[in-house]
Amino acid sequence: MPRDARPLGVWAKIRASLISFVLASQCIAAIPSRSLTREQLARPEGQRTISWVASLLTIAGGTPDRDRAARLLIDASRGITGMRDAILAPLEPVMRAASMGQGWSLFSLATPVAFRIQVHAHARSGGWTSIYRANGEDPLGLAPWMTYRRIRGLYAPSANSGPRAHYDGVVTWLAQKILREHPQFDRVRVGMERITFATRTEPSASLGVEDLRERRSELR
Amino acid sequence: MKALRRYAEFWDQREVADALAWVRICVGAVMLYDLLEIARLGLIVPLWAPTEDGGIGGVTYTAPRVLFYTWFGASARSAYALFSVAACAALAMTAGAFTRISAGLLMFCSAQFSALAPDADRGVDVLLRNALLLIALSGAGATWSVDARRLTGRIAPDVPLPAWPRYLLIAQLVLLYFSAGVLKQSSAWSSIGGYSALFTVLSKPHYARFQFTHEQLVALYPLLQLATIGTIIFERSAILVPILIWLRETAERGGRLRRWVVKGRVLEVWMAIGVLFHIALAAFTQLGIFPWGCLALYPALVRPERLRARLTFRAQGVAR
Repeated sequence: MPRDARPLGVWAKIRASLISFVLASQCIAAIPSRSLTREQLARPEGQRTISWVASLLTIAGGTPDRDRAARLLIDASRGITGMRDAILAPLEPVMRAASMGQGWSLFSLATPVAFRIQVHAHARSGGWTSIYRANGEDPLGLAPWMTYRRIRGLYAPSANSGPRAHYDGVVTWLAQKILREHPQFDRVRVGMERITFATRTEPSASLGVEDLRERRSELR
Repeated sequence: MKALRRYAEFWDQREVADALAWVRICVGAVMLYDLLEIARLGLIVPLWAPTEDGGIGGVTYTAPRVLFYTWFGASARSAYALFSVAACAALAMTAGAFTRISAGLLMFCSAQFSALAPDADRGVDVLLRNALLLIALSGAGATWSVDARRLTGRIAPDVPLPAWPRYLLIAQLVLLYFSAGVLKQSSAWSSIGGYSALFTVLSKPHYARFQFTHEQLVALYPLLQLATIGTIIFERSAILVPILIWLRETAERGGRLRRWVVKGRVLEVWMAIGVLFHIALAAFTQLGIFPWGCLALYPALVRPERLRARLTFRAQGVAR
């Protein structure tokens, strides 16, 4: 039935109001929940933003004070995230229960390092062998499990927060799986190699292996 | 007052149900595929069972964390039961059987999975849950469905439905892309870092599908720079999509801009770039269902009448 043929009822008005409320709340939910920090502003992109704000201050008749511009940015960002949290607070229980949200920070590449999971197994006859390296060797065919997005979400760390909460659980599960299916091994060691981002002139370089964990065959 | 009335009338519009039906089918199929993949890899217990039964997510017998486990007890058996309910709901929703209930049930199960292993819940799961709510509230099962067959005797009847759920799905896509585009503020996504973001992404071992050598990536560098710029433009230009749709829908009003948008098929070009973007993501990165989950919402961008004309024409062709 085309819209013009029907009178506009009370329900249509209520629905329009509800939809507006949902749209507004979801747009507000898309605002990042963390405010800007000094460290973020110290990066090249942050420095550029400071330059822009400082230029704007100059246009407005002020002095091109970069420190003032940085303070202004941080204060504004804190104000916005505070307002965001305050507005969304009444909706928080619903959003949490339904696990809904609008945070879409996809591949923001905010930190200059990445990680590569490494798995080694110790043969009963002696000696350690590399049995899995992300996007590298995989003689036991572990890739379907290790690259499955949900499992990767459980082990792949972010640059600054250390190992994920369930990293140890993943290591135990993985070790059990390997030791059960490949009885020639009696120990499994998992670690996260911290690597720099490759650039056009430099390939990525290893900064060492972190979060080393070892599990033994008694786990089986 | 007149503006408010027109605003309420806008949300009261009706249209054929085909676009919503195809969003329902695509979202259901993507979620069903993901669930089957979990079963194939034997990950039901590791992901969602209590720690005592071999789960990784941190749920225990004494701290069940989710409603389903509070009702039925936290155990590996409950994890299998929850998974089975989700898989049946996904299958039913895709087929359009008891659509509102199956969509609501699938959303409930997905939210339970999220609470059981929060780190295992990715952006695409949130996106699909948001879409499920709209599917459950809409009449997405009114056509191309078992429900339609049951109620009308035809699989694809011509059913008019409120258009607002489709508009909200479009708003969801716009928010997804625009927000992702605006949040890409690191130097790699700008001239400061030489638009090197996709070069970097393809160097990340956890996400790259292929093991490119540094020399190979350097050889591809100009192409990857172009793709980085293209990604930023595509994502940030999503904010224009509602305007493009409005210009397309009001083509009869004329004007140079409308003619240019309609004749130049600007919206269709944007959509085609989106499809290519996601296919490239699927081809070169290991993001699981993410590209397909986003594409599952694309039927919402298509004019439902157009979709209906094309699909019913094809269906008739097949029947002949």
